[in-house]
Amino acid sequence: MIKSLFTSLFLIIQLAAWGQTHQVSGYVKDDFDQSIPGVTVLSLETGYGTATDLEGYFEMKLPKGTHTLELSFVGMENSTKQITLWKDVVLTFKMEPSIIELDAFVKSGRSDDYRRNEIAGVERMSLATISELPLLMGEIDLINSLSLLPGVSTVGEGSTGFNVRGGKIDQNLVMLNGGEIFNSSHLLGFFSIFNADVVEEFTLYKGHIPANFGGRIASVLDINLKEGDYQSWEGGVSAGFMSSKLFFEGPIVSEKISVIGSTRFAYPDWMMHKIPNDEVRQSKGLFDDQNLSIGFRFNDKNKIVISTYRSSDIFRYSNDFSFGWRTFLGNLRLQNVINENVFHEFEISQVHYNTDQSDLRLDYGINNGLNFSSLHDSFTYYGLSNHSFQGGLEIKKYQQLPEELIAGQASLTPNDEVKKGAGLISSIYANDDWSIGTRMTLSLGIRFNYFAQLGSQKQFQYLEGQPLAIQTITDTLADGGSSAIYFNPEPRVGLNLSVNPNWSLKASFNSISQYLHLISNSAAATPVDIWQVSTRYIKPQVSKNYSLGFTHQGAKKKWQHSFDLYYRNISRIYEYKDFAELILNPHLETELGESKGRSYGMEILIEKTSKGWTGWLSYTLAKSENKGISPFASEWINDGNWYPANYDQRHNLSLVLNKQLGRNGFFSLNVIYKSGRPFTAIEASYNSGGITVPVYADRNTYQIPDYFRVDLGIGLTTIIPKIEDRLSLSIYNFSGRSNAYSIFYQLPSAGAVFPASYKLSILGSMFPSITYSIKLYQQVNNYN
Amino acid sequence: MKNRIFILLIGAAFFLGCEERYFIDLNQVNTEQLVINGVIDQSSGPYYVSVQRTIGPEVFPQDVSDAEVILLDERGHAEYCDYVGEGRYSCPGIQVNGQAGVAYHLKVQVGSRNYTSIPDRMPAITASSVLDWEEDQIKATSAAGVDISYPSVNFNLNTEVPSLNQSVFLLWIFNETFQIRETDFPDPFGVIPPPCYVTKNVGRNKFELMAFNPERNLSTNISEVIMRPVDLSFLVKHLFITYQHSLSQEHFDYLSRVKILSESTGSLFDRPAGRIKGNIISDDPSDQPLGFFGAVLADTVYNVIYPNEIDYWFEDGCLYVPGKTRNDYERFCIDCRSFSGNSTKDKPYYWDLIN
Repeated sequence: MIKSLFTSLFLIIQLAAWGQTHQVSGYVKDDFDQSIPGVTVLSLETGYGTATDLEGYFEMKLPKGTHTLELSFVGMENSTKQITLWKDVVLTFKMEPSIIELDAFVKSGRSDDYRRNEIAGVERMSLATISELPLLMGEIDLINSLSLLPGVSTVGEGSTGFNVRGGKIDQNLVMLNGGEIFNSSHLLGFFSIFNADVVEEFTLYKGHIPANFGGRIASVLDINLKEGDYQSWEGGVSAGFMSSKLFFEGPIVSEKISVIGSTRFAYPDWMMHKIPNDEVRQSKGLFDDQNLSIGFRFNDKNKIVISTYRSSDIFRYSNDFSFGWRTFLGNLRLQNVINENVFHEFEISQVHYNTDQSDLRLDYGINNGLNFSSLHDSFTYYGLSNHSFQGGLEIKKYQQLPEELIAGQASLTPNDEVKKGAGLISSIYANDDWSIGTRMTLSLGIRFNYFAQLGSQKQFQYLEGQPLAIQTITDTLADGGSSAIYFNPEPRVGLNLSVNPNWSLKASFNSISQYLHLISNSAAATPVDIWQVSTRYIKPQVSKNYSLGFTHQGAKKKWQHSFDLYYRNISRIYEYKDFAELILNPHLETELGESKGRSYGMEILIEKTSKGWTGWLSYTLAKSENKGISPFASEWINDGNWYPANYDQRHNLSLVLNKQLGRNGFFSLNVIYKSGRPFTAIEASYNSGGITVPVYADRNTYQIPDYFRVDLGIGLTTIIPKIEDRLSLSIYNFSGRSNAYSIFYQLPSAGAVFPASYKLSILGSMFPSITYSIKLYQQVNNYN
Repeated sequence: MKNRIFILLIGAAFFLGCEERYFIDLNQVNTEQLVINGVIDQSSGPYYVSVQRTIGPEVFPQDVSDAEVILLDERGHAEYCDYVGEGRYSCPGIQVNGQAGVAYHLKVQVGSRNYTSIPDRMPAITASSVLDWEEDQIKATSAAGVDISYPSVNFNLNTEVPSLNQSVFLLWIFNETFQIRETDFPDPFGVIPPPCYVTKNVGRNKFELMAFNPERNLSTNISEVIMRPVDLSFLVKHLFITYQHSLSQEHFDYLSRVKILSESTGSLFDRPAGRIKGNIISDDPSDQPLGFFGAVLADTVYNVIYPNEIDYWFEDGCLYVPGKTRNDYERFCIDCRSFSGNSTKDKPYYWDLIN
């Protein structure tokens, strides 16, 4: 304090001595025009400096004359600008990311050379990039775009979620503005739930995961929504055959309160009702989602953003079955710059997620779901040279909703309910991003988790030294009994070593625990699978993730190449046993096999980032497998032998090409090839007491047919002069291939004896779409 | 018009042509596996064992006629079983007799390989079961979407197990036997055509299973285990036969899995399927034989319904009507053996015993 006082006094005296001063003000932004708060702006001649506020704005007085302004910020390349000052000026400076991204603080986009500078296993995609990819049903889609990158895959059309480096879909932490998302898909996976109109940036951490993230062992997809513009209004409308959307943003009170909102509706129903097929006509597929966010800027040091998100899905297949799932998310984020060196962020989130599935023939429905609450408080400290230190506290509570069977009038099944439990995770963490010299960056982190099982669900006690089975239950504790408690430290280490300006070597290691498990009774995840918190018997999954790779960037930054190896060793993973009964089962643990898992693979990416054709070729060679670890053979899956995981995919190849056509046109092409995922086939049949008994092979020893798809996209921008509009025509699955979603068995006719194998394809042939979108702006003057 | 074509194209792409027959390139070695099935009960025999070899997923297994099958009990008795055709071996029950509380197993030699079954102990206790029935209506929706109902007899199963601090595992199979009478056309000799007897499985499911745990349940009531529409099969006498088997827990677990697979419809709601392990072991560890040889305590419950017990009246379509030609009758009125199911002129031994 005294030191600051003296410094200020000294500066005042110095400025007074020089006499004539002028104001230098302006904004510091990244490549994507996003403001960067906390940047130090220093005049090298005078030593006078300041820092940008939350909006990236700075101002200071400097004497008349020539000054060299140095801009510095951890995670961004230092830059110097020379200015000659003879009047007040307003300037805008651009900075580029350097070695470390500061995830909570720096909202930076994806620079052309980010691969060289990032620590292992961080993927960024800009909205500009994905908006040029061919659309599916007229929509820009985050998850489908991410799946074109190495190490990221989906099981195919119709599947929920995505898989990262041989992980299950529940092993990805999907964060939307700080709240956890439990189902990232609309319409059984055709769309993701994120409306690109309001997404500011998104980052996928698939290797090095900073310590401020925890709870899922494979990856983190961190999606931040835009904050409304504080100065001018902007809006847009987009219309297509399957869905339409609109968004708006602008100041409610100029420079003080902003709002941004969006809504999106999909309506394939009207099309389905015109199909001359009763089953299709009686089917239904609808979704909608809305975002609303209000920002309050109290001053240049303090800001609050309140954001909400809701979505709803209904999918009904004829008179057979229906699914529904809904998400509501509310988030409050307080950011304040305490001083030049300390940035503080406080966040609370609440998420409500529920699902229902109905058997329309038997006239009953089953509901389940989850409530999620979280509190996150973090501080980032920049006071030490070459260090960016972040520490914080996070408390999360997962409350499972009761699993309920609601019987209809024609149902023979009575109403039923299984109470579910809750889990509380308290975590503290610290992370230091340390630039060692000019060539090496080390990210060191540690996170401590304390998990406590809560709730009043029924718990069971089993015979000591016996497998968990209904027959070995010795007691039932109605009030939850003794709760499970787990403590897990999680070290995180990431390294980036610049061998020379073009080559960098990357490595990472982390250990992560997961206390929430998605329990599914099918090989491919469905929207209505059960989220289950850890209990005495369903213990946390713990994964040790290793990653090693290098990146090369051409001298002119036109080409980037990367090569990564990864290995994941999962100490515990839960898979359904053969014949498991998972629905309305109060002792779920008796139906799950405890296994260990391992995934390993190689990822290659060749990317061209500028001039002419741009795009990338990515290839992943991977293997993912599990093995029972129970001491009891009756609990083993696949006789205790290693077996391919449901999401094992040996080869995954994507080619993405984009080209600007003239001033207003663009063309894009995707080519995708993936190995078929594993399934368990029937190898034989026999008769037992007049009943045909199919003989299944070892688990997942066969593969569904390989996946191949070509998409084309073409578009025009600025069709109406002086208006930002865009017409996109795309053909998804131009190759017309009927890719398999699954192989399943059913009796081909009522009197048939043997179940026959069928291939189910969600998309039967090519799928064209046309979308027109328009953006309208309120004209305002810019700073420089 | 163009709009309509576009809509149809998109709709068809999205929702049609999605399901097609798919043939899997199977590993031939795994498709050929030996299957041994059979039971011994407390009767005096004979007891039957079937030995077959699977040859693929959509074909019946091949009969194995050259196996050496020996039935053994835990007291050291053994007897050879003779091949009687269709993959079946008959064990006469002379040396080895079924008795409650005794464990039994098989030794089977096929070629150079030896197979044994893990001994299965015949339970010492069973349950007492009663079936009661009532007339009701089965409600359904026709293909045209119209709600319809038709008369039926519905059976409820009431079972009680003795409280002996011991779990009891039960299997029920429900069969029906009824008479089909051919049309008695006038003939110079006044010959009345002999009736046919049809015996077939009946019930909501192919079989029912229930475990009784002395700490949780000693009795049960399963409603509507049989929902049988009333038709011409009730014209004379309609027998409902309930076979009740008390099983070992291992046998029960095996059949529980068979039940899951047999009732699987290929929907998302099905329980995940897998390989069913029985109690047959091969001397070659790479060989994975299938099937189960079990010892069961068997019981049979008969129910009979006569036409006068049913309120619903229906016409005998096979009744001779002067002027109606043979071509005007249903085929089974001319030859009752053509009636669907196992229709035979041989009267079952129990037909006249049950009244």
